[in-house]
Amino acid sequence: MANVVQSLDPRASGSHAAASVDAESLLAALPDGVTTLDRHGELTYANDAAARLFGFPTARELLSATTDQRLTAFDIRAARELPWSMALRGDRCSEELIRVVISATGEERIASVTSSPLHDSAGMVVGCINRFRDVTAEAPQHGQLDVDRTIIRIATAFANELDIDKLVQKITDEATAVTGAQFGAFFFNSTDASGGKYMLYTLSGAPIEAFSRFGMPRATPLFGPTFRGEGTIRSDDVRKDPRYGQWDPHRGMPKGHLPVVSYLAVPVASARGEVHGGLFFGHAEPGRFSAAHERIIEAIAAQAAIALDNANLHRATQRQLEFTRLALAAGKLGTWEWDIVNKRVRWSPEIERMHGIAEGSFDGTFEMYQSDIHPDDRARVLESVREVLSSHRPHYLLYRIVRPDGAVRWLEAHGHIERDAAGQPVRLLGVCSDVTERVVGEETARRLASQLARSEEAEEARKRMTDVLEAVTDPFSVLHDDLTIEYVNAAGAASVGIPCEHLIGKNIYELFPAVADTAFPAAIEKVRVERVPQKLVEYYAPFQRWFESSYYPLRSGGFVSYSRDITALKHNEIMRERLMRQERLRADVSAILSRHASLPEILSGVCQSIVGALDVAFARVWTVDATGTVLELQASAGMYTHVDGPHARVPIGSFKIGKIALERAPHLTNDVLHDPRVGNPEWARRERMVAFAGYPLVVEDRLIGVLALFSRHELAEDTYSALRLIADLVAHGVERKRAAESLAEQARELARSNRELEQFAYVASHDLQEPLRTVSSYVQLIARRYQGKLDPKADEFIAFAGEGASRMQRLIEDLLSFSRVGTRGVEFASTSLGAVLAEVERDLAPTLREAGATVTSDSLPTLIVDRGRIAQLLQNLLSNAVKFHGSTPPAIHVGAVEQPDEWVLSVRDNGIGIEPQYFDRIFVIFQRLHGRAKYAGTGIGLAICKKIVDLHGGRIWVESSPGEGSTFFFTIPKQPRVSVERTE
Amino acid sequence: MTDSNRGRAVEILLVEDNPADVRLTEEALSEGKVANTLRIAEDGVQALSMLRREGEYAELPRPDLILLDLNLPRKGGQEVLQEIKADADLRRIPVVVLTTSSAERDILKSYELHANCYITKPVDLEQFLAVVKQIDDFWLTVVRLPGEHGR
Repeated sequence: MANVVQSLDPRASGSHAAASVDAESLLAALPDGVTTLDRHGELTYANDAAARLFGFPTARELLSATTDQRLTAFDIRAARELPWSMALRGDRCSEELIRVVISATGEERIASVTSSPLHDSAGMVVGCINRFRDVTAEAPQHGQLDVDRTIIRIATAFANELDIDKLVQKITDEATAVTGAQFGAFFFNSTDASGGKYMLYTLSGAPIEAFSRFGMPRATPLFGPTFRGEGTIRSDDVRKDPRYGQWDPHRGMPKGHLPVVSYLAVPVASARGEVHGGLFFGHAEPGRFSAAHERIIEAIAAQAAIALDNANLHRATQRQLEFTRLALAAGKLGTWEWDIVNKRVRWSPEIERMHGIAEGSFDGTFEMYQSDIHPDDRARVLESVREVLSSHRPHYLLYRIVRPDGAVRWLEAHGHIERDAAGQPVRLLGVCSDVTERVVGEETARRLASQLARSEEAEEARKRMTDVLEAVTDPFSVLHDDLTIEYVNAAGAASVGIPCEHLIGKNIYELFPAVADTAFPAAIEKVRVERVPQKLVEYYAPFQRWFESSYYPLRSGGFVSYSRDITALKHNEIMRERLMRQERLRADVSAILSRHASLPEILSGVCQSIVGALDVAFARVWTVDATGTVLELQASAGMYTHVDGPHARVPIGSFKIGKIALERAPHLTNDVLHDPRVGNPEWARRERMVAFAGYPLVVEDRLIGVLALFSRHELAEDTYSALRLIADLVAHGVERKRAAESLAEQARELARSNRELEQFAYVASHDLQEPLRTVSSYVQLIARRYQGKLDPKADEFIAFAGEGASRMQRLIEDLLSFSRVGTRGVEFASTSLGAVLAEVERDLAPTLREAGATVTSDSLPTLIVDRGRIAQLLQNLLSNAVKFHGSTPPAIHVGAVEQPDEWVLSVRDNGIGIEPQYFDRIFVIFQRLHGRAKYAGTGIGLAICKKIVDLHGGRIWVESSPGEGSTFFFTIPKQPRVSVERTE
Repeated sequence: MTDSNRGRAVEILLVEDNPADVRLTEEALSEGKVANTLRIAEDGVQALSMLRREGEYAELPRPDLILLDLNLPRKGGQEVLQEIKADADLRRIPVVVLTTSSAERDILKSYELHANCYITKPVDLEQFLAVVKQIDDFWLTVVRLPGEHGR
């Protein structure tokens, strides 16, 4: 392959260059554009077709242009990645559409590109080869049918018309009509060596007189290229074309010229390179001609060139006959003289011999002359003579005479008239010869010539036609009215996979019986009977291919069939349509799954969407029940919508649905009738079911359920893939829905249990308070009244009882305040945390002073919080910081860091710190890390802190290491969020 | 010292079902300066009967001060409070809510029902004694209450 790249590289030299000649000329001749790029994406080869696609006249200009020049000359847009970028990565890219915008004209072309990577022997990508097919004209708005029709019409005209005048007029008329031009003209290329003059041949859209006042067009910079066969010129406004208006005297259109703004000119050049002339089109409005017009006209010009070649051939034959005729004319001559004034005719003896009478026996009367003339020619001869007498034209007659013996001879007479001074005819004199042999020979020759025309010439024509048709890459055939094939091109034979020789002479229906089941018979009847063209887009099942066929009746009987294999296009179209439906379905299903509705409602919506989008018979979803052993039918849409009946509960492992669940593998078939898993083939046959698809709904190894559907048409591979995605969406949707439901239930349960707990804590502590107060009061009363009056042990016991009671008292009070955090109404208001901190510091002033503590803080934000609770939170944290101080006096810092959605506040101390394993435990109520003797407290403070932070929708955590102090962090959202635990 | 309080023992109705608290209140009041007669109602129903001098309570004098617990059998303290304050004859008698509850909603509700003051019984004996002494001082000495003859 590396060799190919080198050989395609115009810079290559030596033996490679020699070897490349064939490949290059082959590529250059291709109608498709071909380019090669090296591995850096540099252009190394382009043929002319590729150059034209990108707006360069030939490959040479494209190749010699710099990258910048190319970038400014055209713009390439691709829906996805550029095909050659893919190819240079090593991926082949087939039939990718790109849009080429030619900067100079703004014209857009659509090309189908196939890019293939080129590898060296080591398998490395060394470049790529790109094939471009200009498909602009295939876009439906450009009227492919008209192109086909026009070209077919030209071809038909060619087959039947050897009259150049009529042919060219027809070409001009049709080309003008096709381009929508106001005027169209065909100028014949004169072979004048000075190159100055061109002859107007035909004109369409205006009377020929519109041009008669002007000279013929000359080889100006504008017209010259067309007459020299240098390619098509198209301009949206010819007046702005740099080639326009260069030559004196007019410098543009002469005054009174038909108004031409839009301009299109195509050389009509034969395959041999002979330029017959040019087709020129004009319109008074700018921008009337498109690239598609250009291509149609080029196709017509090619047909016109072929026609002209053949017409010239015909003419040459005619001229040859003329020479023969002249040669034969060198026969015996007689002289004659008619004295008009004296009414006497004088013949030389040769003429008497010609008339088969004896020498000297002619009586010299006009009557006798007349009587010898063949009765069928007599009137014509007299008429001609009369005409000659009254005009100045030379006398010429070819006529028959009948000899006395009855023999018929052909005589040819030339003559001229002599007049008197007044201009009156006096005498007609001339020569006469017997041309019977010549005329007969000529007749024979004519017959021969016409046979030639039918055989050799027509053969030549047919051969050319065939060449053209064989070059057409789309199937083309000519059918007799009895539907036998008269002609089929190679592409046609290839499209059906049968050699031409096995097709020609065969009947369509015998060859392709399945055609009888398509729209073909009806369409072809219309062509045969009504002689109107038909167009069909038909899927031909035996070949599994789509054809777009046009049928045109031929005047001579039979019709032409022109097909395009649009399987790829159609597949693309079908696939695009299918992918769009799938995409819509995915979006629909996603939307449905996020709806606030019950699970059966949601799944029913999903099933309906699937049925609607994929046109399947019905779709169902089962979910696994609580026991995990049975699938419960949740939703059904399509021909069955019930969710009860035999399929309502399917044990996992049973039937095809249960097996899908058990195996956790999809079951897909496009042949339901022969699928062993389909339990009821009788039903399937009756209901004409074709396909079944069932997917397990699985999320992370958890079986959620099964999604299944039946279809009356086959399902494509990509539909299966799409359904697999849908199944995945549904599985996750169901899982999410269930998780959300269970979460909501848990949240409700949690809120309820919290409320109950708080209620319990409140009531319990309240009711505990009463007896405790009694115990504590009376212990104190005893102490008050009887201290020192009993024995010392009694005093000690009384002291213990008193302490126990008061500790219990503190626990109850803390429990009450903890429960109050949640029970009291929450009041959010914009609050300056700085002010709150100052307040707390004031409240704690004695404690702080006593411990020698210092409190510093960052600038604290103003947030929407419950002021009282935040004060309590800061107070608890500050108290803790003081309480758990180390050997040095407490240094407390309150920090604040802003995050996008929240503030992170912190209270840092230099105290004893906390071991990491207790980081979570300290926030749990009544959890203490230290003996009561060392640090007083019930272990409620941080639990309250956590509750307050939770209530604000924030988080609280600690970072610490023993001996190095602790930092308590908590977050407060910028937007207040009341937590679910909030109760009022 | 006001005229109305002088010369006779102040009548106090203590509505309290807990004998230990009754006893403790008696102890506390006995340490006070003002002579008083403490009558006890053990539930809300009895309290209202006594106040309205129904049946066997027909001869009872109208109390000068009511000490009302909230947590009572048969009829709760707040119901009692509501009925007292709805009764034209009784509404002028100052009602001191003396209860173990320190719940906001109890405090609020009590004042909404026109309690004259709300006191949470301190758990600590010394504090309790001090509180009763302050009640004694304020309501029986400082405040001028409407007397029987003022009606």
